[in-house]
Amino acid sequence: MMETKGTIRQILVITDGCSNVGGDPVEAAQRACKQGISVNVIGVVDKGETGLQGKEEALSIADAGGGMCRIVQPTDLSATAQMMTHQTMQSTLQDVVNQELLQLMGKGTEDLPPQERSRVIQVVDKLEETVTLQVVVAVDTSASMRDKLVTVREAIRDLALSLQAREGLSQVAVLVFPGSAEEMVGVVHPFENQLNMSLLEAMLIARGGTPTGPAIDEAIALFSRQRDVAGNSPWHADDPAVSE
Amino acid sequence: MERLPAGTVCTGKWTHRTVRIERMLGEGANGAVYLVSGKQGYAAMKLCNQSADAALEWNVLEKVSRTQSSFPGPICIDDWDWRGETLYFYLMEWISGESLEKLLPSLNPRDYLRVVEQIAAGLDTLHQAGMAFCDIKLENIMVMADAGLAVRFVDVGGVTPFGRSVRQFTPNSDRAFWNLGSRRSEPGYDICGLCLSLALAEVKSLPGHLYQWSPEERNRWLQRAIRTLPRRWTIPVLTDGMNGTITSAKEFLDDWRQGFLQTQARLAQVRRPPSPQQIRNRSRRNRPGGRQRQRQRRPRGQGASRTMDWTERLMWVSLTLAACMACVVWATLFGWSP
Repeated sequence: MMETKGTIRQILVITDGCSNVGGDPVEAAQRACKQGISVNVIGVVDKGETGLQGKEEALSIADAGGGMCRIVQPTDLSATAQMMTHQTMQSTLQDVVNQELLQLMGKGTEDLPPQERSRVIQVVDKLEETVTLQVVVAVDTSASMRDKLVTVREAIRDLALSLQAREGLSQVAVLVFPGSAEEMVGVVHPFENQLNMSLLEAMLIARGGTPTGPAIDEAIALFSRQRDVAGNSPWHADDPAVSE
Repeated sequence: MERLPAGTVCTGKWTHRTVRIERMLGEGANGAVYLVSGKQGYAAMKLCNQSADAALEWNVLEKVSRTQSSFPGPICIDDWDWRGETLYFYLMEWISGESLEKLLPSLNPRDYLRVVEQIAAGLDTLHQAGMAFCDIKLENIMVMADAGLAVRFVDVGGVTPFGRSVRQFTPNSDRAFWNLGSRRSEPGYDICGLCLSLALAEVKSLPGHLYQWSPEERNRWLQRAIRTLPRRWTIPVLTDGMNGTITSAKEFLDDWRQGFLQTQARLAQVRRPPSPQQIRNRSRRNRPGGRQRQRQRRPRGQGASRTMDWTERLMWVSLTLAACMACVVWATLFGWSP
């Protein structure tokens, strides 16, 4: 699940409905999972709405991507994004450590008594703090998301604040679907040293349909390009605070 | 995770210890806390769906119990197979009392001072052990009213060693949310969190759209709101704690006590009986009013040194004119012609 360097890669999809343009997002999530990228999905619903259109699809995307799915109100977006990033990281690392234990001792963590299990989890916890983390946030900017985009932007900023405090290296990129002009996906913020809030202003325009599948594929492409780019130093724990 | 009804019996898979669920004490993101009873009396049980959550908190509980006693003492950690599912739990000391969130409105000034002093002392001990509480909020602070207002902490979910990213936080008491600093564990994070919790508890109402504002906008609102706190003597120390001027629990404790003592000294001055000099000053101030009343009773013409101002002159002239006019009219009426 992790590269030899020890990098955790995640895609976080924030959407308010069914995909209706482009390829199948569930297949795209499967492709991501095969490459070691977890796909999490947050469905955003306002108080007045009856339920998430395409809740089944959101659950299937997360299942196929080996990630989590939650349906929340806009005010819970920030806390949910951070919880899911943390849980998925922990789960990925636990799988790795579990594999090692099985090979070494012939039994996994669940077979250990609780006291010993808690020592193993300490190792997982330390890894979680120090490992390199790359997250692509894919934001649905279809017409119905108009009133929620300001909250989404602040949730991304808040996620960045948490990740920046980690000892390990953190990188966040943001893409929107649909993009500007006629393109299905637009990368508004590539992987960079610091989160540049002014780039996220481009995120606030809502119009068009929901090409979730192409968005996930573009995120996978972003990860490949990042791997190929040498010398692009991601955030470090000593960097100054997130800039405007 | 569904709520367990009272009376449910839980048997640990590894320790074979049996406890009985009495009632739920609280519920959180990663599990629930129940009051349980067993052979050794009452205890609190944290029950989680995921083994990692229970294990991590157990580690912290064990670690903090070695150096201080504000948090509950650890008892044991175990698994429980219930209705085909494996649940993960640990038992700890049950801390009774009321949360500061519920108690705060009814505390008199002296008790308020003492409770916060104890919180600062508890934080100091924790910081000496190299960890921050991080998820400081009034509902995590328990006050024992029948034990001289002793203060204990509950919920170790957020306790984080210095230098690491804060493990668990609540936006209202998180300094990064209010643009007051980073989300990294250090003593200043706790001081800021404590000051935010105390200040926001006394603010009339929070704005509805906080989650749509930027941290800078929230900060501006906060700086204005803190000036409206009813306990005026707390404003300087809470402001310093929030803005990072105070970075240690000891500093906070000193400033907190100083602020209270200064305000008590001012109140004492106001309540003291007036000195003879103060009485003389007061009566000197009263004399112009007495002169006013005497002026009205004294008939006109007496008091040779007194001067008449133009309004009085105008009054007398107008009255005289009016009287003359009235006389002329009456005379004309009775047949007199000028």
